[in-house]
Amino acid sequence: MSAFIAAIRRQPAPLLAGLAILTPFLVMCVFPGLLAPYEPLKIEALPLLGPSREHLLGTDEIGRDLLSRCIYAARTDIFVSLAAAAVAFVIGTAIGLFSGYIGGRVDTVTMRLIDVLLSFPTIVLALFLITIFGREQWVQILAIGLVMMPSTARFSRGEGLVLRGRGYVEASRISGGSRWHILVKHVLPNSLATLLVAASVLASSAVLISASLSYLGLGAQPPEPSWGNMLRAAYGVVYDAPLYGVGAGVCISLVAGAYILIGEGLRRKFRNDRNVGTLSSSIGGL
Amino acid sequence: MTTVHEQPGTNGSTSTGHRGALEIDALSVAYAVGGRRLRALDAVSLRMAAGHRMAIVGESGSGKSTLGLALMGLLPRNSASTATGVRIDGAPVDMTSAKQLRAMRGRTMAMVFQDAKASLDPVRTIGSQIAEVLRVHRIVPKNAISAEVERLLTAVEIKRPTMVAEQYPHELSGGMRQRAMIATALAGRPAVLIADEPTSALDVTTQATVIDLLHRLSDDGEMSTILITHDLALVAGFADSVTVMYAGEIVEVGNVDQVYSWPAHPYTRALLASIPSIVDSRADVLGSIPGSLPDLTQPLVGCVFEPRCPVGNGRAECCTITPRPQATDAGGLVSCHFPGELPGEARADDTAVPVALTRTTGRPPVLEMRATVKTFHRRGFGAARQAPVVAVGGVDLLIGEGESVGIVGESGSGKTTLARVLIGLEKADSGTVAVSLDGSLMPVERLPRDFAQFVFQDPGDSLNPLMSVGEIISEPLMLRDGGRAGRYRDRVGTLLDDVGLRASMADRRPFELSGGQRQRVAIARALSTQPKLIIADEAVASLDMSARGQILNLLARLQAEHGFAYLYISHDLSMVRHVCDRVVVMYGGRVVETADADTLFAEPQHPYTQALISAVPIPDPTVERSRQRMLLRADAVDAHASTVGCAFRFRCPLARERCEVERPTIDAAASHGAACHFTDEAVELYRIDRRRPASTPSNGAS
Repeated sequence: MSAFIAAIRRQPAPLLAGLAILTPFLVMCVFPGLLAPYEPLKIEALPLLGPSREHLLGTDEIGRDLLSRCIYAARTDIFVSLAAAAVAFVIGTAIGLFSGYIGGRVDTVTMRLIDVLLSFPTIVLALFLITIFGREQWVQILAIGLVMMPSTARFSRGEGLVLRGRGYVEASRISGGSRWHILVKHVLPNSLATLLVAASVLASSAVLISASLSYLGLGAQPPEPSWGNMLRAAYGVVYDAPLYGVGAGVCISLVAGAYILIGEGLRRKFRNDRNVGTLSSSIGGL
Repeated sequence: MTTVHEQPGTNGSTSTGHRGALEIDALSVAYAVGGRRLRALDAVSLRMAAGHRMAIVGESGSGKSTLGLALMGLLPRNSASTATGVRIDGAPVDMTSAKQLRAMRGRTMAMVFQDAKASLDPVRTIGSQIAEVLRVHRIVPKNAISAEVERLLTAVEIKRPTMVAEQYPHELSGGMRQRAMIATALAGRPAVLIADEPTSALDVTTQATVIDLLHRLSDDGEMSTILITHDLALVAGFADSVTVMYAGEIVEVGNVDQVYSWPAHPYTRALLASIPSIVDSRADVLGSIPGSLPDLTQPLVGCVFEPRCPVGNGRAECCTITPRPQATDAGGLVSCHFPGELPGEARADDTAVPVALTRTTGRPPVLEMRATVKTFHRRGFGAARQAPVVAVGGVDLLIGEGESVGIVGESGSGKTTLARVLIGLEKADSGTVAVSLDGSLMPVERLPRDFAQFVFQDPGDSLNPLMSVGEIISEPLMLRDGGRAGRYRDRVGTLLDDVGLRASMADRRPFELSGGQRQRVAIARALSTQPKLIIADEAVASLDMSARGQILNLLARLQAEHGFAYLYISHDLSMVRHVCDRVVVMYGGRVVETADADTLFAEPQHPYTQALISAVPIPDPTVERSRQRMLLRADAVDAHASTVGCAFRFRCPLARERCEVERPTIDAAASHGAACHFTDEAVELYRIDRRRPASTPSNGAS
């Protein structure tokens, strides 16, 4: 037990802080009923009440408890953001590492296509995709993932380019290693540390994009709660209930911030460990 | 401050007396690393006379660079230093006062670093960087600054000082940049100039001229110079005295002749025995030092060198009592209980076996390369488009079975590109590469990939840090024969044993190994598929001296056992001399001379080969002092750009009209051939040069 505490204390402060913020939200995702004092969809009191002992964040325009709605919204928001970040990460990394490692014309063509995608404003492209393919959750995830993919591809391409010149990659080529073998065995594992740090930024922007889409009415559909559509509702009644949107806003900021903190913590951790080992030992000690 | 303010343009000759006497008493430096305290310098004391040239030698981790940085007050933040006293020209230096150190940096003492590219600001001109020192220390009045910049650039033998002052660091060649860096250091007219590996990043020909320059700069006694280096051969011709460091301690100090002729400390002796010399024969076995540096975070008991010492070898005094510096017969100091004593029975070295000298003619070829051309097209459009670089321009190369061939040349000579074409990492534009498995030649494309293997320069880069040693070594086998890593467990064990590592190492990861051990792992990987040819591209260049000897001996032993051929790519002629049967000299992407090693080093025919050989330092002060150097002009002419005539003509002492129009050819089949129109004259030139007595010490004989 004391060894466990010692191991925790060795971790970089931002990593611990980020995890400390994120953990309650993860609990909300899995067991919302445990934490929420009321049902999220049930009318419990008068509409637009301010914060009180019974309703810590007040009630919404039809009298549902805002705290409970915030807690139940975590599931949608965090799931959508993580899934979208994963989509962007997997596709972007695959394209980027491949393109960077292969180089030459393949790389040039791929990167020009990525440039085209990058030139669309993020939200506009997501809006466009959701408008065409519908408002289901999986469409949202794919849309957010796709709009974030190009920047990931750009970034991981750089890693691929760097690792292409590494001695162990060339040694593998000399021994007859195929592109696939080299990408899977050498390039991907050695770029993972850097890419994971980048992925945390991805998750953070996914939270913001998904909240923005909800705010515009393209995310989770009422009565299903999400932080974005709660903010939208708060906007309409801002003169009657000025504190309505505070809960959802704080949740969005905390989660987005927590991802960034975790990323920064990982970056420091990998940098420190680079003197002794690399990713595998770092993850082993995580 | 003892410096005298001088008028500009007087070239420093009017100042009073000699400067640069340095006294250090009990200087200790410790680094905080991962919560532990690492002793980088342990109560080091040193005396240096004014106008003296001192060399500090030692392997990495010996503390030599820390000593230089500590004197400059440039130690990193995680360090703590203490000293009883440091005096320069009698004036005490407060090592704890950042203010005083800042005032002294550049003024009383200055430093030249290894990598001038990193040490010069890339966005400012050379002139403005020198002027900055002049302004900060108010060396000359404002209106005299540009004249002083020019004077300094002239002092470091830069041809067109006005032009160079306006240029940016990237516009200069490596040697020129290092000169500019030296000019910056000289700007404050320091009493002590510290040069930390100033030539390690330079070609051998440039290295000779820079060392020559450093030597000359301290001729008038106005400044003393400390040369920090790992290269003992370089020191021989430069220094008046030598300080040998090991694990944060000075183990021996002495006059250069004394240290080289009668080394008193076993470590000094072992170091001197481990460096190949250009005058050695191939039959000599290189010495090596088993083991590695002690853990400097642990408290020290007894002599710091005892665990690796063939003289100490477990003797009671050595294990329990830390030796104090004592005077040697020749007037030096040595920290050893048994100075000058030769080892009784040498500690076992697993790698040293004498090399069997073999004749190379008449062997069946394993590789034949004909008229190979490789061109690189630089990127850019329109005006930015640059001419393609011919890295390899029509090279013939023949390697016989079990033969060791060396390719030498300066950087940019195309030797590495040639190796990469051979191994298939680059595709040749034209020409044929044919190889043989059983006596009959066939094109390289039709052969299995395991015909040849490659040993890279830096094992830190060529071993995947996330894989275990076992996985690394078995990768070529898995790629060829399939299966999982576990299947090759026994084979990996045998291979590790072959390269002198324990089989249990298979579970380690590269970062747990020392540099020498990593290179052994890289060699084991190259051996795994039993290739016919192993290409070693600067395979020992990144290693410490003691490890170099071990690896070279290991490679020689493996060849004797397995009978494969070696292709050594190297800029280090001494090493090539030591390990190769035949040597190929490249310049500007072409072979300029080829001969068997003994002939080439005894009777070089091409002026370029002669200049290369003459630039190589020999680890013997007496020889170095009487040597006449053939210094090449380092003018920035792109040898690859010349499409007609001899590529070497811009730097050649024999160049004339014919060289401009007619490209000399080389007879690939001849046992000794040189691509020069005037080989007869060249040979004469070389003879005269070598015989001429070194009557002018200020000119050449460094």
